[in-house]
Amino acid sequence: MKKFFLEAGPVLRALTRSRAGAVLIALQCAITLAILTNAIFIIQDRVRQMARPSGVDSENVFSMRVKPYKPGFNLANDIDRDMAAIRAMPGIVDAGVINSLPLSEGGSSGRIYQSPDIKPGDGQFTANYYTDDHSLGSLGLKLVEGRGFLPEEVKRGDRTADRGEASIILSQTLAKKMFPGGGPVAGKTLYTDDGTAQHVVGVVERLQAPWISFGELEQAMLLSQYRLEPAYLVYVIRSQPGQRNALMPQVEKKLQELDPDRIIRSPRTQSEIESDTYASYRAMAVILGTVIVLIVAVTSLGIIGLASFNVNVRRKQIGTRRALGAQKGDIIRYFLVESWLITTGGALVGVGLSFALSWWMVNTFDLPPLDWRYVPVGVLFLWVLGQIAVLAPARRAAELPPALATRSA
Amino acid sequence: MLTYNLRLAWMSLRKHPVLSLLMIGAIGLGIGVCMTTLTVYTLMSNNPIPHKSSALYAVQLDSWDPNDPYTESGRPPPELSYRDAQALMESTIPKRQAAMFKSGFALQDAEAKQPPFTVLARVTYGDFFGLFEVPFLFGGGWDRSADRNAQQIVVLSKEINDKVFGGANSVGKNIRLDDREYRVVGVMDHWHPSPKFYDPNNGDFDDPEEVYVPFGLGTALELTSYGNTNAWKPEKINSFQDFLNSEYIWIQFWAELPDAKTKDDYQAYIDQYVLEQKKLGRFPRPLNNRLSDVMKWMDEREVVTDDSRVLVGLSFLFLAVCLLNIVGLLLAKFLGKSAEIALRRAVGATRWQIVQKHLVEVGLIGLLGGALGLLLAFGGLRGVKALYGGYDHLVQLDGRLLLIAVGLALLSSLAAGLYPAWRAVQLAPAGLLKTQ
Amino acid sequence: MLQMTHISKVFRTELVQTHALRDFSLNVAEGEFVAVTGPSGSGKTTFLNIAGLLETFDTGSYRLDGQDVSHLDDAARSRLRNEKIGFIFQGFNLLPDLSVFDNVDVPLRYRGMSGGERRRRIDKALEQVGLASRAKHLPSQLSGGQQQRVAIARALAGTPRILFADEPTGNLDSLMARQVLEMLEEINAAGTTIVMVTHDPELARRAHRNIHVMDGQVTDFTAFAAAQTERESLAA
Repeated sequence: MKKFFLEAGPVLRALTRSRAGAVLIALQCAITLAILTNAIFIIQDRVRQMARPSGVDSENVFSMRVKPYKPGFNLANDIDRDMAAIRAMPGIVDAGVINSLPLSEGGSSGRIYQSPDIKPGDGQFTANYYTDDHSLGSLGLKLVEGRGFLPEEVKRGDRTADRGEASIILSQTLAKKMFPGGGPVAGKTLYTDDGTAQHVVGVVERLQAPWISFGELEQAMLLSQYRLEPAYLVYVIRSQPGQRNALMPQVEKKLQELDPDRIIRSPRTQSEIESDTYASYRAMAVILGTVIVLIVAVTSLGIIGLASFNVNVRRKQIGTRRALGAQKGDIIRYFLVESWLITTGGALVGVGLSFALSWWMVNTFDLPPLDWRYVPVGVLFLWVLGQIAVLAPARRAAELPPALATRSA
Repeated sequence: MLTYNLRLAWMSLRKHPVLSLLMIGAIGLGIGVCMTTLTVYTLMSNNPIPHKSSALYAVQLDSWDPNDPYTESGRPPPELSYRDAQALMESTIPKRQAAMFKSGFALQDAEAKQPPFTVLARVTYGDFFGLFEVPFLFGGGWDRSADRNAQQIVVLSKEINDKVFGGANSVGKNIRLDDREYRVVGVMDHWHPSPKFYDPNNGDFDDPEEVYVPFGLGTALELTSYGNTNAWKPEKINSFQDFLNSEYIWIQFWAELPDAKTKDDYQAYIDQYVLEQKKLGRFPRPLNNRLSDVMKWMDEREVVTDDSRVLVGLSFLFLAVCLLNIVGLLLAKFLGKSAEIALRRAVGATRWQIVQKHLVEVGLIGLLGGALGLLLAFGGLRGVKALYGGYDHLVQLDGRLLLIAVGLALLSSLAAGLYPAWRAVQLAPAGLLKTQ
Repeated sequence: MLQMTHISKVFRTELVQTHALRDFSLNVAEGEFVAVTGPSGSGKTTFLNIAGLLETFDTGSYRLDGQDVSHLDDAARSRLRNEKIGFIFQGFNLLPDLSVFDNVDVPLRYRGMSGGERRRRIDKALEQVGLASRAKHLPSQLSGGQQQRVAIARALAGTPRILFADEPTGNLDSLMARQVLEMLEEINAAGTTIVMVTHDPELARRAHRNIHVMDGQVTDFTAFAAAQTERESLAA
């Protein structure tokens, strides 16, 4: 190792005297580092966001919508009949109705306040899920405090039905925001934006909002009331583990049999819904990943190309060194040191470029600033890449016979 | 001279196949990545109605919360309340205008022989079709009286007409929507504006709706809006009429204002309307009404995603790395040919002729790389389609993008070749003579 | 044909400066065949580079074919090289990837001739050096002597006024060397001026006139007549 650095002086002097080639590779390394650090940072950020659990038992939950088309249908009766039938099917854990599903990109939101005396700017954003007394079981939510809704708490009816006083269940994040002091939450009262009282009966560990762009993704609540309007209702069903895919068409068929005068539409699994919603995140990660692989390949080839070229033009010089007593290891080390110097030069510029690129993206777009720790890791990677890429040409150089020294040209 | 240089360039590429492939590959990768991201970007920033985009205006009134603007940057909300949309429709200033919202039905043939299926519907005024120059196969739209009287008439998309009537002229025939009979008055030809500029709030690249019905039906049948409905203040809504009278916003509104004067007049008109409403205790925010033409509207609604812009930026940096790579390889190659350059100089080639010769070689590499890049972009776009799953038939390379790809390949390769070619001609022609 | 007066050329590096030519004067008449001899480092290569317009000089003046070429720019000197000068090198300097035909074609390409005219000239030049049948061969498929003859054809195809030869037989065996030399004499007899750098006294003796260069200066003229008599006696 000591020898490696001792060599750096002469190699550096040789480099500075020559070679646009070295500068080009260094520049390439600099841009590569900037792209590498920023792209990996973005990928990591997206992967982290995608990994956040929605709170729903996604693997076992599926949903479908029902559209009656004969005027004069009685939706309340239909729902009761449908629910009883579905819950009776073997393999079904629970079923219920809800206005929308976490991460489904459509739903309702509002503000919630600690006191009925509402002041502007008070309160917290929350996603509102209008649902029934089977919501915990059908979504597979994990209760951490209190209880689920009781059948007698559930109110339903026309368009005024989802705007009254009801029971609510909060996500833990929302509960902590509303009651920063801690202590039991069940039994407390909160107020929706027209000052209507809502009674907290429970808290679930996690419940995400329907929109990933929603500022407060983890703030949501269930309300024990819903509107009898087909466009605003989803049947949500949870199966025993492993039976979801088999049960989904069976439920669809069952619903159609119970009443042929309606359309059963959009049967979807919750994992599908979540995966579709995150499609753009996944796409970004995959595209950036591809760019990273390509850029590393191109830069490595650049380093290999330059080293091979240098080996060729220095054949005689290398032969002479060998004739003068340099060992194969010495020749290899020369090229390794040279590559290390070039990548280091590139890295120096690249560190600045990485932060500049991040600065541009933070200012132009809504992206978080680059975590600085990605930069030293990137530099380390660049060093290793440079050493590996140069190894093959360096070994070829070491195999050149010392007799080259005495040959012309 | 060009053909001569091309022949020499081709021979030179064949002479060093690995080096040539490396360079063509590098340009190809750079172009491929750039074209993939650029295609997605241009698709998002596409002008969906080019010859008319500057005459069509989305109308925004700032009816929002006095203490909390709709967006941090102070933009008014993108949609109108029902009562304001109704009021604006009374204006005679715009050449055409239409309030609209998205809804849905169960559609069935008139005799109810086939099982019904769901369709997306646009509930709008008859001006919609003229406003957006919707092409018709059969029949046409409807007039204002149909809107007022809530006539049960419908315009079908080509796809629905094909499905229900096998593509025949169905004007005058009936279909059933949510079990009510509607008479077909028009069948649209294929119409697919992309982005879906007239309602980007509810799916900016969605397909247009499948059926179109008069706006008056919206209230007569109490149709539900499938789009976003937003409110800022608590209101007791006990009936559909309460909802229509409320400050809830959910209606998109477009006006055709063919010249600057009409636009100014209309701006004055909506401002006057809001000032009058202020007297009634509405519109608590400062006057902030906007008319945005199509492209400004796309910009405002952020139809082009930040991700897409980041990717374009990064892919051009990637192209830069590829080019630096090529500069290095070309430098090595050209300097390696110093004997040939010296000889050509000795027998009378000027510096410029030598530069030309090398640029032709580089240009050839660029063209081959561009061709490879197009192939890669083609594959890349298939990948993008699969990844996003939403853009399907929209993601494709058209003639303009093809031209951009070739131009970009040629330009960037020539830029990469300039320095090596310049370095190559700096060699003195005298180097050939042996005895020193 | 060639008039150099008080030419000097200095090469400078960081450490040394070398006077390659100092106060170098020389006249070569039209139709002459001049041999330039001298030891290594004497400046004869620099002379040839300057005479062939491959390099510029510091002071003095140079007239070529009646034209002052002291202050021409690179493009004008390139054109003169193309139209009035032919080169023959010790190492032949054929382009290895091009066929014999294409090698001879190289200078003509830079003169903007029509395709027919080029073809006519190439055919004629190859005929002249006896290689018409080898037009499609690559240089590597030819012997050294044949390669040098291709190089001569390349020089002739442009019908130059003056031919510069740098050790033209240096890489050839004696039989081939004689063929090449005879060819040069034929060319000279047809009216083309030839200036040949060599350190082979045998070769030099065949020229009309010998110029000896030492330390960047002309030191010795051998009389034209003397060479002439020698030629006659050889012929006898």
